[in-house]
Amino acid sequence: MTTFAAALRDTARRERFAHSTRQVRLAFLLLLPTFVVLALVAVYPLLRTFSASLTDEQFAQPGQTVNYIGLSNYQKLLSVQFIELPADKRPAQVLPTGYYLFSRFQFGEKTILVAAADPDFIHSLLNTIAFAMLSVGAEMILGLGLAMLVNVHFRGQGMMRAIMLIPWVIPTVVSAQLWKWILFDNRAGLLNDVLFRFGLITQSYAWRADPRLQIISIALVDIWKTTPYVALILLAGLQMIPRDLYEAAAVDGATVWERFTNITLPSLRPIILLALIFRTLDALRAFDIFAVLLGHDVLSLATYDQEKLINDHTYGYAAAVGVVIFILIFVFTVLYMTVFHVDQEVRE
Amino acid sequence: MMTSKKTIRAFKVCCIPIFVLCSVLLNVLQAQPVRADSFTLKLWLGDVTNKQPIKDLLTQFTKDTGIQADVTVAAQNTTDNLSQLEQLLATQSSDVDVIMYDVINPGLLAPHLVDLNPVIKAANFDTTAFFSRLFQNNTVNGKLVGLPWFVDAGLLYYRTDLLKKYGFSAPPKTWDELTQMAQVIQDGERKTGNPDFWGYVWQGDAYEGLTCDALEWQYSDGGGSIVETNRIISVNNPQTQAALERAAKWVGTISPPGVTTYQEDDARKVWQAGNAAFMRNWPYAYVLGQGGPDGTQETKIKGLFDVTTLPSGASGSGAAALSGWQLGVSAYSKHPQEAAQLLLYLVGPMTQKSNAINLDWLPSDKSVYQDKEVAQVHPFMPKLAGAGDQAVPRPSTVTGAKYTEVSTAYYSAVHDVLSGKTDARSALDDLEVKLQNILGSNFTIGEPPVESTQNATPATS
Repeated sequence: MTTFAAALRDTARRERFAHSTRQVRLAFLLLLPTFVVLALVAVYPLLRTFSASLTDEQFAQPGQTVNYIGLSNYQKLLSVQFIELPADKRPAQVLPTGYYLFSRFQFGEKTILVAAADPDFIHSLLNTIAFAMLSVGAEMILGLGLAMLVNVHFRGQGMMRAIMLIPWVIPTVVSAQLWKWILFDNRAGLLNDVLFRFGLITQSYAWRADPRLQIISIALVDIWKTTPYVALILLAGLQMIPRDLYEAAAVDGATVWERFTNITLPSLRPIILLALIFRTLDALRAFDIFAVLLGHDVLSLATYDQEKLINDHTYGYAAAVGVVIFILIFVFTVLYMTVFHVDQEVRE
Repeated sequence: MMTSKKTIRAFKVCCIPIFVLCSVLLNVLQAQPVRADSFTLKLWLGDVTNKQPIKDLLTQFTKDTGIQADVTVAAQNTTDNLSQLEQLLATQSSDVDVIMYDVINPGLLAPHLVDLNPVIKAANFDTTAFFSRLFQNNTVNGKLVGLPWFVDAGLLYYRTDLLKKYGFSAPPKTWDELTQMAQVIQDGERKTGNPDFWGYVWQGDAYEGLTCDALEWQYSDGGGSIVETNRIISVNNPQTQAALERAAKWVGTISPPGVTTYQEDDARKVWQAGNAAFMRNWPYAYVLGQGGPDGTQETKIKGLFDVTTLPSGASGSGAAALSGWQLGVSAYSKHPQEAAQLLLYLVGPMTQKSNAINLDWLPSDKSVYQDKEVAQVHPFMPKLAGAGDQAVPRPSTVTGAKYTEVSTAYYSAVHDVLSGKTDARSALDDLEVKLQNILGSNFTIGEPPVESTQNATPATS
């Protein structure tokens, strides 16, 4: 707050305003409602979630006693153990108390069990990351292609850019419901029907039921929905690149590919980063698409969180899941910033 | 020039207040005289596809009593419906007055519901005709939190025309018979040019409906009812394992691979399109399959199907999951007297009769099954008169507020077996440990009661 005030005063002094102190006070006064609203709708819920994640608070239970339990919620979420399974025993006989079977694999002769205190959470974490990498990766590549396509001047360009955005404008719950019908497991489903008619399949696929197709199916829906959005962001970046750069490169004999890798990509770096952060952030907290298309079967972090809160009434535990999502998004953002050298860019 | 510009600006400035004034006046004129005591009772409706008959009943209620009443539309899905309701009640909202809730939830919702014992006494309401099991189910610590509106029990729907076509004289008596018949019909129908045809459709999605379906499989095999009333976690036994293995084999053979995403209506749509020989569903699918109450439902199987009890397993008898919906009065209603009046009207025999005819609901009032008009419209209904007393309840009474967690653990485990993520043995091993952790040390691990193996009560007789 003080540094902000100082900055304001600084600017005021530099600009040689007559009543700088009075103006600063006025500025504060005018900004105060915004700060109050922000504190109420952003800061308070965030702090409340952090503090609740350290307790055993229950959801919708007025008059309960809430105990401080330290990091136990996080411990339960993240505990994973590897245990060797003797040949004559069943998994249930060797799992430590509070641990459930997550998966198993062969290590030479031995069978190793992977046990987790909350396997559902680990599943939802892996599902979410797989979904995010698959969908965001494809969206960036397709989005860049699409952006370069509509960057070319042609008749009806404006119209095209507007039409492009339609999938993104439809609320996800609605479009996910639509896709539920498209992905229906017999020929009442559009996708199976179309593939049938073109002779590409002889047997209907259960897109939402087959464990091998589930994440791919919903990634497809997300790609359909969000590619135009990525394309639009990248298009803005493309239009900022001066045309003479390309002309000069063409005069020097650079091929199209060389122009793309040496001019387009480097100039787009900050915009690509922006789109990546936006999209990854959205994908990591994906809720509606998972909830509508896969229900309880395949959980994302967000649908898992909701289930812990609403079904199990464990508010504190659900808050801890929320914090983990928060940290995960933070880690991804920092990772992107480092990989793309954004701070360097700023200093330059 | 200057003056005319000024005039225009002045006119523009004047326009705004005039416009506002006009609209306010218009509102005042249009508004109906508001009486201080005018209110509309809100009925929270659960899992009801066809809401019109209920709305008609409410209109009749308003005509009889002068009390306005309307329905509040809630989520279709049973699980979503409950969480919406819980959140509403947690805020002590007076937005709903009469609440329709599932048979498994009296314990969970009891703190938010009014005791109906005094209401019944005051109105001299006769409750002797209700199924006693449902009546007990709705009594929580001596407090009667709801009256049963209708009961539901799982039924086997079968295609009479196809059974005849493939030379079967009667619907299947056992699961093995069903498997075999479904396979024969499916193979035959596929050969004659319907690649979308399946033998048997049911509810395999990971949700409460799967708990019902799977409980029927395991109970009919003598595998008990997950958690027994004497606090024994009995789910991990060979009979249950066999039942789950049998069902897992259906997926991809006589049932579509996508059946693991099917809820009631998904199964019904495949069935109603004429693409299945058998279906497990609740009674509501009967009228819809015949074209709906007003004959506008698109159906390819009108007059081509019938219902019967679910097949029996190793125990020698079949089992149907007990379901059904209750009506209670919200503790936060601003008009509890009128709400109770509406409730008694809705559970009354005349209303139940109309619901039996229009909505296919099995009455919670035994006398309605004997009604001639009901029997005329639904010849199958008198056959099901025993359903409410004989169907298998889910372990919601004994597990109380933990039931949702127990059921979630159960249907998740079953779903993992159905979709091939794990085998039945490991899934049940894991589930047993999980249930013990959820329920705590008051519950012990044990075997299902022997009488459930030898004497499993059939849903219908």
